[in-house]
Amino acid sequence: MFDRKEMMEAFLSEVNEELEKLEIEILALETAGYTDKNIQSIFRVAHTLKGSSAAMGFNEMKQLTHEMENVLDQIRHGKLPVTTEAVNVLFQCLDTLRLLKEDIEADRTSHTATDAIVAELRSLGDGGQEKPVAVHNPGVAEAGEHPFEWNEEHAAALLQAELDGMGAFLCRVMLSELCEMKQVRGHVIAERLNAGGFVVAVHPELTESMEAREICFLVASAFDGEELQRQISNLMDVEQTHISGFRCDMLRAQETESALAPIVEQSASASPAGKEQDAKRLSQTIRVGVDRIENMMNLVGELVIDQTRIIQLGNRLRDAYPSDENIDVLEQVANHFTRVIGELQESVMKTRMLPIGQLFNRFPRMVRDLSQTLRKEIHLVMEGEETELDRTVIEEIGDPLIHLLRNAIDHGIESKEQRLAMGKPLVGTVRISAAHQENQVVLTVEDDGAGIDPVRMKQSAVRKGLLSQQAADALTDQECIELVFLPGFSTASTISDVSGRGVGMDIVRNHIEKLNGLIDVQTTQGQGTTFIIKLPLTLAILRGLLVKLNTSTFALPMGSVVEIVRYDKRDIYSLKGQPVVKNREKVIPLLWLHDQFHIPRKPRTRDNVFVVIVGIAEKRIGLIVDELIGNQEIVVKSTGSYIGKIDGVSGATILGDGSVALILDVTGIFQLAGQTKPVYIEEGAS
Amino acid sequence: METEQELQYVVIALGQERYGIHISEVYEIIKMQAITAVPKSQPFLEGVTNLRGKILPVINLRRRFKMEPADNSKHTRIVVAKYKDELVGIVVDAVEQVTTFTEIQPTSDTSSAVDRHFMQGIGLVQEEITCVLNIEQVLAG
Repeated sequence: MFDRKEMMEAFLSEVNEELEKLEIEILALETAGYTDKNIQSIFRVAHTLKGSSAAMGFNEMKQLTHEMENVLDQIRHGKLPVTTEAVNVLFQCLDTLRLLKEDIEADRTSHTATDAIVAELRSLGDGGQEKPVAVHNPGVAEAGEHPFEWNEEHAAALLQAELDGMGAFLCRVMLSELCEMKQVRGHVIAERLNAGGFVVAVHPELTESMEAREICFLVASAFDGEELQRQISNLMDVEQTHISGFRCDMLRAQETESALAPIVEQSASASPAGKEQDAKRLSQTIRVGVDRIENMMNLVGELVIDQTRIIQLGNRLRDAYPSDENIDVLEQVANHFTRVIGELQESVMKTRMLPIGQLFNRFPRMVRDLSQTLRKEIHLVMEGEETELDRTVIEEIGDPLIHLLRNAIDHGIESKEQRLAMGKPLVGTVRISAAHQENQVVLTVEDDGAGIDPVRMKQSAVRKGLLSQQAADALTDQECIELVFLPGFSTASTISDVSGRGVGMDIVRNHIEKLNGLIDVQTTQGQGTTFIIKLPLTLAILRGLLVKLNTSTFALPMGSVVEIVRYDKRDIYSLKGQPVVKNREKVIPLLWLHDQFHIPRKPRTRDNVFVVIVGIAEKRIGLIVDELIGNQEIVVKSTGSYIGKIDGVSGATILGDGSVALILDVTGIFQLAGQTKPVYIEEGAS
Repeated sequence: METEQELQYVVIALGQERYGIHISEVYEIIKMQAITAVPKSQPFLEGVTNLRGKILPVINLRRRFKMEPADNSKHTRIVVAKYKDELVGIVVDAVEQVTTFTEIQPTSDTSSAVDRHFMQGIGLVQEEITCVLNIEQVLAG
């Protein structure tokens, strides 16, 4: 029996995928205008959704997609122009489908009303003519030309077949338009063709995403053409077959021609073809539940810990028995173990990675709607969609990015009149990009708008009582700009419903810091603003700097460590009771975490201290530590709900010797430093 | 059979005192091992330790009962108990035995120095009497 729940899950994830595709295609329809391929894709989405929703018994969805098909079919046959109105209706269809999907997700039924949108589709459809009856059947291509390129292996196989007394054939098969899972059908045909010999090559490749209706098989077979035709012509969904003889030298002939022929084709669709290829390669996937991968990740985490322990044990044994040969073997095994676990860890991490394009895909639609509401013309540029990030990070970073985008469009980009007056292009550009940089992902949101005015920022902060005039006067321009991150700060003088929803930039920053990330802002007045976000690739394993406070070991996420410096005691100054050091022309406050954590300070024998300078965003603080142990991969574990949230601690990890070290939470440390100033001044003085 | 299991208790020692913990509440008993202190937490929380790759919070029962601290000995054990959906370790001076009480009486005025709300009752077996701990109360913050 079919498992209803499993089917439902498969259905929903299919719907999700198709809707995403639909959104991309409708946007392309609007921006790039009508192309055959584009309208075909939209049609196909509607068709697929119709089929699967009918199978699952969701009538509203079935009916809606059916009506969409009708309209699309008319567009496809040139009976209906692609107007803004048509695109808007298509967008409404998309929204309604989303709502239907959410209904189904929530309670397994659909109750969103579809009548209105169906009526709109119908009235749109009536603009065109009667629904065409027959679908145009592009004939099977002429024999003689074929899609196979010269390939040594194929040629060798054909020659061998000839020697074995088999003939070579070119079989063109045209599948029915309604054929679902063309890949499977293709394999069934190939299987049939294999009966009297073997299939040498297939074009296009039979992949999951294969969409072509026409499939060419290059077959070596002991059968004659007629027999082959009989083998396959009675198969389901096979509309037309054409079989012709083939000679090995035809492969070669095409090769010389290919210098000329394909150029025409390529120039017409150079990049899309390449993209399609990529898409095909990517789509050879299987679906795996997230929890299974999470479980694998946990197990790998334990292996990482054990491996470190084994190495340490090996070292200890080596010290105890320097000449024992067994320890050589142990070390070899341990080294191999380390390598294998390293690779295992990497591949499990990779399975958790998703291209950030999944998230970016949500933006064009949002920007389109926003630019309509605000009557600003926006050109959205997205770069680095293929950049891969841990699933959990992608989930968490969505909202902050959306907020930054909204801000850029609402507050960053000026109105058309202002842009005109400034002599800027009328269309504002918002650029969002992602790229890997060492062990981090860097995301930027950039606009070519007005930029942030430090003076206005300062005034605004003072007016809102967030800052005293005195404090404001002491700020540098960059510090003024960074006031955007202050809680309760919003620069727009009028609150629009776009970005003035009470969710400030401080929330964005908190979000990013929770992910062990950093956010920075750069702005040039009149030219634009750039927000730069740096994030770790994953949240499960991070590089940590192990430090000792007296006898206790703590881990600091490497991502927030800015610098490690050794200071002479005489270089530590006291500024209003606050110990500070000078680092690169900046005054950096020092913090004795010992006092915060009630760990006795170690009596100092030397004249210098290690200071680990940590930073989030623009803030920096120096932590005085007693010993630096080094940096290593640490597996982040929760301390559990029994202990609950501890200020300054984000989790725990297990070290090589099996003991537990707490992971310091830099955001929390800044809060600690802020809250308890009097305590450590007093102790610092003693 | 069922009643017999119902009256089975793990008896632990804390100085001169003996306490019973119902066997169904004990997940396992491990030897004392390195415990990492957790700053800014409950005063009776000893810290966290590594239980086969998982982080186990551990409390100190002496501190919980406001008794004098004692040095660890080779008898010191961590009783791992189930609390809500988590495991929590309890440091005790020693684990003595598993006893089947013949009877459990409600708590009355006892000689125990320990707060009454930590007690579930008095377990009797032959001549001896043992306080039965209410683990939920002991572990609750």
